Amino acid sequence: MSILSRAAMFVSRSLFLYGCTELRLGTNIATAMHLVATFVLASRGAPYLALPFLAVVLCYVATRSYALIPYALLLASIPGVWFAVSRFIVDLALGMQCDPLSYASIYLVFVLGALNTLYVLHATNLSELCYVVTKLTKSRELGLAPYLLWRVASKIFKDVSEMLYAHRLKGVEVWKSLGMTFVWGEEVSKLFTEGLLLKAPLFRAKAIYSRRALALQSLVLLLDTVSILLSTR
Amino acid sequence: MKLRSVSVYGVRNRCILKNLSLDISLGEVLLVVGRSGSGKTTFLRCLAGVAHLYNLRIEGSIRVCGYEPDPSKIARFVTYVPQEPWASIACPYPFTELLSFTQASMKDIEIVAKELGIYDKLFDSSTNLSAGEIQRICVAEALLSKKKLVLLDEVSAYLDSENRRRIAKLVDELRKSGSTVVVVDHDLELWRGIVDRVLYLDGGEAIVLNSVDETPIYEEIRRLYKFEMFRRYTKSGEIVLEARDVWYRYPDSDRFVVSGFTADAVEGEILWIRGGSGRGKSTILKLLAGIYRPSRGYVRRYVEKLQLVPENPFLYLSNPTPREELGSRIDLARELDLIDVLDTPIALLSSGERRRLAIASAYARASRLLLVDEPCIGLDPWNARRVLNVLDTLRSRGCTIIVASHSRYLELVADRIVEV
Repeated sequence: MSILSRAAMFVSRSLFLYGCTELRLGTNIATAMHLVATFVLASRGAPYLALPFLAVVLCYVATRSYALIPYALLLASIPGVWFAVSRFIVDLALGMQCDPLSYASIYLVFVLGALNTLYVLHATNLSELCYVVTKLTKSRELGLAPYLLWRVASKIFKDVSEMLYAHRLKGVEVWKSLGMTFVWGEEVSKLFTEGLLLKAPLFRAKAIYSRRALALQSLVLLLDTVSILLSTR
Repeated sequence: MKLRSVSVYGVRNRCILKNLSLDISLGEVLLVVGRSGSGKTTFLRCLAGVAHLYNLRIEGSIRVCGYEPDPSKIARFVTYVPQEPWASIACPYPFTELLSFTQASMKDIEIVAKELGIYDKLFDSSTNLSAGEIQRICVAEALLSKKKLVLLDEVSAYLDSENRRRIAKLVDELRKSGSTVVVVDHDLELWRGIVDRVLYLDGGEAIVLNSVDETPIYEEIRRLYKFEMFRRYTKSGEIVLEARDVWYRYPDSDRFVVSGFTADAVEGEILWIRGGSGRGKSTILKLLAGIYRPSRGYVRRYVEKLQLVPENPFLYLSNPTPREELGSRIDLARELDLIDVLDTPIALLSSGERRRLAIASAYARASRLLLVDEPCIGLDPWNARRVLNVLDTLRSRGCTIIVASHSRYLELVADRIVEV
């Protein structure tokens, strides 16, 4: 399988692996608060991210979304490795003493930070987002946008992965395959326009929640608060 | 619904429908049939008010529920399921789709979903559903939204025989509840006794018939099944692909979608992987092609030149026009009735034309192993016969073909069948 095709499938699975698990039935306010807490804690050092990280892992497990963890970890490692290696190269170039512990710390901060950010993407309650957008814009079509964005993105990633693989077997050059992915993107947009032209004006946004998801989010926020308190000592 | 002297023109002012006049009353079921490219989908697009998206020019008068077919006016009366059913699913999860676009409660949704065999798919990702499952979600929505007019394009194309019967039964229920249904489909037998009239389109001309038996397509299908068209070969060649006890489950699922699949494919044979919708046929092809790795068991390919034509043929095509896609093999365009569209951008080809082009292109690449997902979907009997002819010719040249399909047409060429 080609690297490009594998990369497309990997990103697709990292973001869109599951259907609507309970992880997505909490409130976006709690998820946003967790994201802010993550940035605050990341600025104070990797150890403070440990508790929120454990809480997030617990959420994945409790909502049976655990297959996302390895994908998320691998994806989160990209910025971690990038920044740790960059720091190492800068130290070498400046003739400074290399400190493996500081590189590990940089790696951890970025991995845990990225992982918590990915959690936000995995836990976004799209139904609530659609509801809020509908209320704010007073437009049903615009209210549908978050759902549609998610749907189209996952569809395109999946199809592009399949297209790149079929093209590789066919012996098509990569640049040509990438060109066809844009043609396909245009086609997808046209077909969705056709399929939804009559439906979109009738969209009724409904926010859907689960008590269990809200309870899990409360736990995450509690551990965020404890970590922030510990970091201020 | 009233059509008066309606003519429709496409790109380069080509006349697609000529002077069509028709009244369709409430509670009537109209079946629209015709060869691929005869204007069936164009007819539905005109009724659904989406013709302008395809730069179609309409002359004459169309009235849908008393209005011009303007989406803003007819949206509350009309459900439209296009040829590519996935494009009418806006939400990432089927249950939110049904909750957001109908007035139905979750309880009603569950009842209809059970009736259509998609209950356990309600919370899955819409993108991960099979084409047949997507089609059933669309029909569930049509049922739950209780619109006056339901337009269904190629509604049974991706469905196995059991689900086809279910859909036909539900269309009958829609009719009984007072809805008008216009169905475009090639499966005439399915709609016998359900449709009130048949609109047969050919070369832009429209003929209204009272029964499916009167259509030329019906005769062609009978002819297709009556004769043993294709030669079969005694298979004693070398094994080109070996699959042993292959199991596969998607990373998000605890359920194996493929369980214990075993098959050998020998040189110069057509192996048919047959099964209902959602039974993992496409997944098996992807496993055989190497896109997915088996969770258990193994797949060994003993040839290097391998081609995969996915269910969506667009994903196989890599050139802007059929002429460029086929290169020097214009003879294939003739063989597959693509000669008139050689310079048409692939984005403007009909779904049947794309499918034939993808198979012709795979043929031109002289692979030793060809994996094709649903080669006959959406094809009329004439074009299905052409595709089967091409597969037969490939086989006679030593190419091994593995086909995943629920289409009965494959009975005519398959050497062996693996049921899943």
